Amino acid sequence: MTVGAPEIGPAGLRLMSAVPDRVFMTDNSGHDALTLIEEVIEKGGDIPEDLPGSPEDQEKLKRILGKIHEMHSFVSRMSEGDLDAKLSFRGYIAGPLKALQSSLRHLTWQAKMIAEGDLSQRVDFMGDFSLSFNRMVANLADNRDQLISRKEELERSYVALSQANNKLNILSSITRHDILNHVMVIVNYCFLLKEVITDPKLKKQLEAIEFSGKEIQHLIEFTRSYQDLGVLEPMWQRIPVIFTNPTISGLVKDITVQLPDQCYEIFADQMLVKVMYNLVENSIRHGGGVNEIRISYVDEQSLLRIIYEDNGSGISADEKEKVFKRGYGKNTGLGLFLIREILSITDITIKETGTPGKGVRFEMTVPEKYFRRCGS
Amino acid sequence: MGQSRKYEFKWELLGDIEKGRPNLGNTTRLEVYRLMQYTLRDVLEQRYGDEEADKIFREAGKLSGREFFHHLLSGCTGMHDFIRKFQESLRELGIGILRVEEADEISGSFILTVAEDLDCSGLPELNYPVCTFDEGFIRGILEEMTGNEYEVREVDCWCTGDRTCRFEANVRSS
Repeated sequence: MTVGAPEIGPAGLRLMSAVPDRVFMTDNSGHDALTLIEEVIEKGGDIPEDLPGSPEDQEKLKRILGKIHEMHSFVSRMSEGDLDAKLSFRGYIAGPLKALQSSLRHLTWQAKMIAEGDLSQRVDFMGDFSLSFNRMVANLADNRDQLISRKEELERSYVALSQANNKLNILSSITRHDILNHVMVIVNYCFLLKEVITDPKLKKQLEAIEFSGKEIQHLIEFTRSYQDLGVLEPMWQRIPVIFTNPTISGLVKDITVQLPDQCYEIFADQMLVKVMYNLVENSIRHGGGVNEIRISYVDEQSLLRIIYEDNGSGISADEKEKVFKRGYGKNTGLGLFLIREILSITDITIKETGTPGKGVRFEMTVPEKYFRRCGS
Repeated sequence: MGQSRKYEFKWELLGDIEKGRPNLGNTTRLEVYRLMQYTLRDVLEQRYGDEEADKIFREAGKLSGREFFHHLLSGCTGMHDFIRKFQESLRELGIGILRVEEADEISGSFILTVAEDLDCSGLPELNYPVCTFDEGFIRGILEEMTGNEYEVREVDCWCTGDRTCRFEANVRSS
């Protein structure tokens, strides 16, 4: 070895010993060939037609340059993520390149398996990459196990809560029944006493007791309608389907109902049918001759607006928010209050945005995660 | 032939190594394994020719793969579990580093690579693949796992200058 020359490692020595001596030509054609090889390695470019040397050397040079081009294409395609490139030759340089391609193809396959949920994948004998990859997959597996465990806990809690809720429902049903029995006694006695009492002052007081008794009866009856609020799991529902429910279709038989053309599914409490029923009933009860109801959607990507409109008298500006308060209104004062409660179970909000005198316009806003296009 | 055979293969023929080699244990140098394999191959080739020797090696590999599957890979719960166990067992037994490049469960096609292969890694370059025993071994395992008949071909080998042995396995068309 020449003094001062760069040190050649064992791999380099193996390469040199593998290169036949006759490659090192001493005439000009040899020099030109080596220059050409160096240029192609460094700068690329097409293989020139006038190659130096004898026809045999030209053929050999063409093969060498062809292999350089092929390797360049092979590595370029790999760097762009195309792992299907093939090398037409084998050997010292092709071997490690194909080994690299093989490792990348294997990693691609492993990533695919992980994406399909197989978290048992591990990478061996790839140095630091193996450590990081294996730690990442192990963490993913831990997190998944924790999520599964948490899900199971939640499911157990849900079952326990459902059971407690059922018991509370039974209890409230019995209590409601008992209260109604006692109130009926009060109301009936009031009715009987009114027949025998002649003192106007006492009669007036009796009527007040009877009135309160009937109010209690009414309120208790009303709570029966909403005993299932939040009891059943929310589900994906379509509003046009809800309008085929006999309780609503019977209510709107003399009204033109215009339903939306687009198809959406709304994730809401199963009492959504009650929401629609109450809106329609309000239109009929308070709208002053409503004969047209329209429902439409406004899709704003991150939220969906469900618009309910009628051609009735509408709601005055100062009442737009008050109508949702408990106890407000001309009947029980619970209808719109409970509508808001039912919708809020899945974060749906409702407000009235109509023009007084031109009908109501209830706008229900559904968050992104609680609506979807049909079939999606 | 059945009754007169002396060495019809049974897993028990591998013996009770713990009992038989209390001091030397159940490992040996790889050269010894290769010494046996390549001298055996030499004799087979001299006696029956190159092609026939290859066939015998593939057949022996297939038998070995079937037995290997039944004793070390049985009870897999699915293809993912099978591949994982296959990789683990080859690694733990020092047979090679198995990697999967493609596995199409529907067509049953696989492209597998084995690095640091027991049979060939480090051998001189010969311009032709030598892992005929591995071809049979992989075939035997895949056939037992899937119930399909397979064709396994080595397309790259250490001995052809490639660092990794690559095998293409496809279900035989009937």
